[in-house]
Amino acid sequence: MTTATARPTVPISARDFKSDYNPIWCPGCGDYSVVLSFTRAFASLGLRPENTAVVSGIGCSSRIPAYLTSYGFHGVHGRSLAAAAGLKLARPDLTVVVASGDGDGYSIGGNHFMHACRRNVDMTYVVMDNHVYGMTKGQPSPTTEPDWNSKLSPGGTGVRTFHPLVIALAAGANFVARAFSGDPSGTANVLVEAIKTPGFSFVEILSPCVTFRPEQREWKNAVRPAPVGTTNDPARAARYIMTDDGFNLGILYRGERAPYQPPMGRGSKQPADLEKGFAI
Amino acid sequence: MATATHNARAGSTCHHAANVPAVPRLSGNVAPGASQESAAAGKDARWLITGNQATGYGAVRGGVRFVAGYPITPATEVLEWLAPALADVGGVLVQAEDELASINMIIGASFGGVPSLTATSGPGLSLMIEALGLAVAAEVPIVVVDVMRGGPSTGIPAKSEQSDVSIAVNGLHGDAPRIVVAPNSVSDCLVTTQWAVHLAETLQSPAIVLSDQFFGQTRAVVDRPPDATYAGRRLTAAPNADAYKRYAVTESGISPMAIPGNPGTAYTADGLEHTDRGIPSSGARDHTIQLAKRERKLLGHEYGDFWADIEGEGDIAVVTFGSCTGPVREARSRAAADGVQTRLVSMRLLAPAQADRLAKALAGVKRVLVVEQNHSGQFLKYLRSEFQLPGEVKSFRRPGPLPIRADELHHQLVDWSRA
Repeated sequence: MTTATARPTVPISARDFKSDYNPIWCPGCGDYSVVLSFTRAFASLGLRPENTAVVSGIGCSSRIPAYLTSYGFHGVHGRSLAAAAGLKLARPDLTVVVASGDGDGYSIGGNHFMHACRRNVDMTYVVMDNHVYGMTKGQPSPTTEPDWNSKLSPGGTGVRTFHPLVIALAAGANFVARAFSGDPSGTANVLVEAIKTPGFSFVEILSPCVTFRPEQREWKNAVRPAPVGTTNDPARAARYIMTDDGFNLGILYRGERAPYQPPMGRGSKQPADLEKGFAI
Repeated sequence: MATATHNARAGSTCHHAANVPAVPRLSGNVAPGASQESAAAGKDARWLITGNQATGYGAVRGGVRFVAGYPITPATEVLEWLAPALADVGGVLVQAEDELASINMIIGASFGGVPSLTATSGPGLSLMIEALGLAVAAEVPIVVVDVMRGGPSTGIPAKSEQSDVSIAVNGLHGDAPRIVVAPNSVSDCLVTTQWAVHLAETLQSPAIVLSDQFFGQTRAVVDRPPDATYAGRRLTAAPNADAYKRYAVTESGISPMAIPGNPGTAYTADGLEHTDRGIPSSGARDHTIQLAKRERKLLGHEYGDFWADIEGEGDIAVVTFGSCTGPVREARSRAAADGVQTRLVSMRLLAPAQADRLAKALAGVKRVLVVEQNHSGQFLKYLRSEFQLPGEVKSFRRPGPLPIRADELHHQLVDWSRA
């Protein structure tokens, strides 16, 4: 048996949260900067790798856990929020961050998105949105413009886009923000606030896919700080988000709902005590 | 027993989850050999209990402290019994938005070090199949209770049928070894579910418990089931283990699992094929090694005599499982009164198949009657795919909702013995 020895607590730098495994992403992918923002946010919050868990589904963005030094869970497509909720409810002592993309999070995982907002478990949900399925080489996602031409939907889908921030707000998310991968420091700051805010925090990160959506290189010229500050009024936030053009960055809503956390570990009966209910 | 084996395996670099300070202490965990006695429930006590309640209690006795589930007939009472019971013993039950969420939640909780379970029926099990494969690949222990009902599709929700054998033993894509067990009485739902938790934790594998509506919703007076010491603890990694490899290739196939909170062993659990470190890999070598490792840990385990209830002698054997066991027992005793001696093999462990044990149980048998409650003979097909059944083989089967009756089995045995 090895004795558990606590190592002296030394400050952990952003670099310590990187892993030695090289990303498989295309050169120029926005997600590289998101890794950087994650590591900066974790270091800035004084988190430790052993007490931090990053959970993901399937897709380019969901590869992030392996590129970090923290506990990671790379599960099945669309179900990262469920796995993360189970982890956080069973282990409330951990900091849990979920990484997803617009296909994983809004299409196959759409139902879990709504219920995760509603359930309000204390975790942070990061969706790297590039308006395309990149891992499968360029199909339209729920945030793809209806006239975007692709092999799978020649001439465009003709289907209107999904509005994740408003849906998050309507479903009960406690923190709603938009960030841009081209601004890693700004994104790290938003992540810090998201993780610090109790309850379910939703951060959409505009993260260009330079391979299948090269026109997204122009996003760096389109993004701007939101002209309004953070509100705790969901109606005001909804009105604002519904009327913006999708490029306003910042923390758009921060509520005060108490997180959902059933009292794990509090009951003190022994299993045998339960037998009383069966006895004749 | 199992715990002792594990300590030996663990050597100097491993210890048990209970020693990791960061994991919340779970009150009421069953210690091996610990007495389950209480003043109100002595050894001679009789209980009034349903199979679904017994299943829930077996989960708690096995150490399950996290359950996520979605309402479904006829499994809901497992969850309804567990909701307050888990809170009492320091656990938690979460109602999920669907079965996809249920199983992914318990995988997340178990990744966090807490023994976890869900209960469902056929339609829910169908939805859970993808994530069961994840639990196989990422080696996360979970237990899925399937209280079987008439199928396919919505089928006959409130009537019993044993028609989920094929999906339980074969229903995953890829080469995905899993544990499948089946209780064979209302009270056995307790011990078999406890055993399933023990096996899942010990082997870091998903385990499916095939109960059915007949057991689940029957309220029966039973003798208090004997205390079982099945309290499998998963092999966990020591703090700051040197050059930690989550999927290290070991002789047993079982590798120390680092639990979040454990310093120096951070890793990413992955449903992608991976190296021994857990790094995604598409390489032929890594794939072959990990496939063999996951197969080995299930095939190499010593499951003991609990794998089946084997009774009687005679050159006619009845091979069955689950809720057909009761009528078969009754038919055998009636046949014995007519001078016809038969053997019973009621299989509690369906997968992995125990070919040598079944061969031993059937040694000298000239005729085998396979009894099951479904239309297509799923259990017989499975037996034939895994075993060489001796002599003449007959199938006695009928789908739900009509039960298999002792009377008709009795006549079958007597007629066959005289044929």
